[in-house]
Amino acid sequence: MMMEDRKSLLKEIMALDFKLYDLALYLDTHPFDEDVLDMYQELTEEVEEKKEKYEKMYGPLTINNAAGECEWKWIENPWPWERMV
Amino acid sequence: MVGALVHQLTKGVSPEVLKREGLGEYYTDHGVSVYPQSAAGVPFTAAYLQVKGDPITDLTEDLAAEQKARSTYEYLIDLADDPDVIDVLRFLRQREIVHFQRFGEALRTVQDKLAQRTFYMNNVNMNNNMQ
Repeated sequence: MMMEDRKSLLKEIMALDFKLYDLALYLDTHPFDEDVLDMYQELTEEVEEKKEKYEKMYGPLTINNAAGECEWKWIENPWPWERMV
Repeated sequence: MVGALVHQLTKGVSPEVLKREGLGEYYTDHGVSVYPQSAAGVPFTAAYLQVKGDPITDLTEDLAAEQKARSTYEYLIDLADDPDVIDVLRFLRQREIVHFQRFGEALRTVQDKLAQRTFYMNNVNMNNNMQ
């Protein structure tokens, strides 16, 4: 059950990051599109909230957040090519 | 991404089965590790890529790379029978199309820029002023 929650939160984060990535590619060639700029800003805030929540509960999503107080947490999680059980 | 697919599909598969399925040569050279090579066994090399320092040439190279990748994903989809594998390949194929679109827009932006005032092809080199 807990693994299901973790997976679904991770999936939400990945979906938002993917949206942002696609919008970033679009903005590279349409840098003055205000509607998309707004959308980008909103989605950034949304994903940041979710990432903070995820990292608090399950550990770091990026290596920058891997240094715990007395433990290096980067090597705790499965790598992307490993299947989460 | 394709390497991750191969890694997952070959995890725990015995050498006998790998050999039967046509991966005997691969297993001999690389075990079940992921090694960047073509389907025909030719290792990846940077010689496949070109950079000319000319934005028209380089963007056209990028556009071609996206289409070559799209074609490859389509051939892999033709060969694949696992629906989960096909889903991933379809997603990757779609990405090539989006990237082609974005590179096409970038090429158009460059062409529009070059068409302004008197801009000669000789000036395209990035070492000169492309401001």
